Amino acid sequence: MTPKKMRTGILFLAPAMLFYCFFVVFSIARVIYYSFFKWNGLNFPQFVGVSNYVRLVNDQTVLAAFRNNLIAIAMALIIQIGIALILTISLSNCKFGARFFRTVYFVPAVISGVAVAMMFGQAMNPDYGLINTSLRLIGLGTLARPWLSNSNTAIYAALLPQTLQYIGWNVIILVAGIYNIPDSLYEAAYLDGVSNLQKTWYITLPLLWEVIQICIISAITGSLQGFTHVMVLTGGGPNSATELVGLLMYHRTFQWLQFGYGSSISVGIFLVGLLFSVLFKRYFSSDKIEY
Amino acid sequence: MQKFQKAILVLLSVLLVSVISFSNGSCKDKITLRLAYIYTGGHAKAPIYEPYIKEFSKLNPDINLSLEPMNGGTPDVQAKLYTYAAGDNLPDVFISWPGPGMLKNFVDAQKIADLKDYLAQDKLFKKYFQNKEYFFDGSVRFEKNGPIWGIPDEPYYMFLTVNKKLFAQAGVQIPKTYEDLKNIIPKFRAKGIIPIAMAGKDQDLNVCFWFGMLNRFGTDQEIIKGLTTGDMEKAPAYLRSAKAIYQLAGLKAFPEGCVSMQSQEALTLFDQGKAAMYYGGTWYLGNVSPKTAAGCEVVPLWTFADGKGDPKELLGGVAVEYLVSAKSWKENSRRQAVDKLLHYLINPTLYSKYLELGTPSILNLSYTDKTSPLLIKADKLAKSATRMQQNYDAYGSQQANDALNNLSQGLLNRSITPEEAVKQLSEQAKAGAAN
Repeated sequence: MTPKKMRTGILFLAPAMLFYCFFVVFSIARVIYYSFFKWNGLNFPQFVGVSNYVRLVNDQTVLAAFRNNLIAIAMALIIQIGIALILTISLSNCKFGARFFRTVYFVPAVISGVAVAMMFGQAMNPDYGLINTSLRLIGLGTLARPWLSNSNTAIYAALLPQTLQYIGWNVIILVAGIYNIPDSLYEAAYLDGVSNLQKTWYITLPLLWEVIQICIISAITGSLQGFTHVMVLTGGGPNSATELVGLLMYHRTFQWLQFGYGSSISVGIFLVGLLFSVLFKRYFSSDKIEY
Repeated sequence: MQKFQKAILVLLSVLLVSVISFSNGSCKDKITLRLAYIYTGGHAKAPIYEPYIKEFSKLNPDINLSLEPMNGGTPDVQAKLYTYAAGDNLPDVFISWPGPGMLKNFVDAQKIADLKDYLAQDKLFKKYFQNKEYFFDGSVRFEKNGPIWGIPDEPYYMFLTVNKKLFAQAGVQIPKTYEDLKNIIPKFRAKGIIPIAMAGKDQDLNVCFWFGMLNRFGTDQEIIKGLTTGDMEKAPAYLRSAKAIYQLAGLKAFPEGCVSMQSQEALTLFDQGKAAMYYGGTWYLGNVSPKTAAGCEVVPLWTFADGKGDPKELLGGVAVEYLVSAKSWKENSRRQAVDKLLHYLINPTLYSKYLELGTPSILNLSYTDKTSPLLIKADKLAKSATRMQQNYDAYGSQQANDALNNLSQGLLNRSITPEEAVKQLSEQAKAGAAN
């Protein structure tokens, strides 16, 4: 690349990079900076060294919230990506209406999370909600319960909307990946008398693995940042049973006015997300498979 | 030469546009004030308040009033106000909840104006609050003869509102004691009636209920000390009241799933005749439709045999007040505009309309034939009270208030024992005081 071309490239990138640096990089740097201070957002910050981080690792509510995030990750990996894979493979075998179904699956992903959460909140109402009413109608009334008020079921109920909403998002990504698999491989497999299940297991999944990794990392980081649905449905209750680390960070920062401690929670979320991604890439990624 | 002519043309255009923009006298002299308020959305006062404040700019052409409705529960609105304050961007005038717990951060950071001299010198406000200075104490004034950080907007008192029809249907009497209450709960349930409307999501009905019980067991000094220092071992009121809530939850006194309900939802149950009673403040009277209100009574909360026992003691005081941003107050022109706005907001014209909703007036206005009958009953109850005590969350830190909310949810769904709840509350209150 000639110096002139490089200069032109930099010039075109500069506005976006400046914007990114100012609103993202600088903001992250400030959060890291404030995590070493005790600050209520109104008075002058007071330097406290690493005491916010010491408090973070000893805070039982943070550990409990992190456990809830792990549940969110598990639900995302099993339900979200699992269902997305099944739908993707079905779509790839679908001769008619594939485009229509792709759109239908994707539509929930573009609806506001608040709207989705409110809808599920109504569906989970113990008296007139769709779920309990349906259970009573089919004679399973004993299974009806206050899903969001019961400390044992609340976390799963509160995480379900966000898990289901983004299935379509993963479908779109996986479909793009599946269309990159050459048809010749399936034709050869067909000629060899391979069953559909074997085709999926030996051809589709291995060749789709790189794309699945993207979905997994995206699901992990998304689950660590989970906030909207739980905030609307339960606000973190009952008695912090549905508290997530993102929600905890919001409460500590904006309701308790502990900006320094809230910043340390944000840094913690970032580091955990980074760790998950690095470990996953290291231990679960494999060389690109080619046939 | 052509380039030079083009440059002159551009320069003249820019000058022309600038002259036109700045030649408009009203643009230069008009002050924009920001008013942040909570009477919006589903709030009972919204249909009266919002059209009223929209008229202000028409009546005062030199002031452009920018309205900022604040929706959500107390913690959400508070978070919004604190975020404004952190960004040094507080609205010129805004509504907040009272008490040192709520206002201390604003006061320490010098974000809100001291209105003591203003209230002493303004003829109208002096008249309005003559002999009613007790409203300032503990709400917007924290020391004797000290600064006054806001102007009370609405008083409140808390009591039990009961639906007499449902009581008659269940064949029971209005409970005067806790034992009475325990006896009538199964009778309500047998008739498919929810005994007590309750909600646990938005830190209102559930926390107020706990306060009501606390008030029945302990002195205000020990309760406030417990909440501000975490020293609850010397305040057995906390454990006793927690046990009462836990026991009532076990007896199915509350709606199923109440922990995830908003207060408005719980009050809808009461208004629809599905719940027999609720314990809350006068701010909820507007949510009771006239048809339901006609068959309701307001009574003091039940007493406990081993409690303080005075049924005439009420929780009450100032519900909300108007605060003024210190930044606005310092600037003379803005101060004058704020003065006009405050007089417009704290006004018999507006407050007389609230009487129909059941909102008591800070200005002691006379009732009309449109005044809510529930309010008349509530006022009577308040006047006969031996004393009134501000709700305890006015004193606690945000951390302590949050803990009250969380732990009351735990007691309501019985996921935590009363002993554990009080232990955690004590720890959180201590940590809140330290932080």
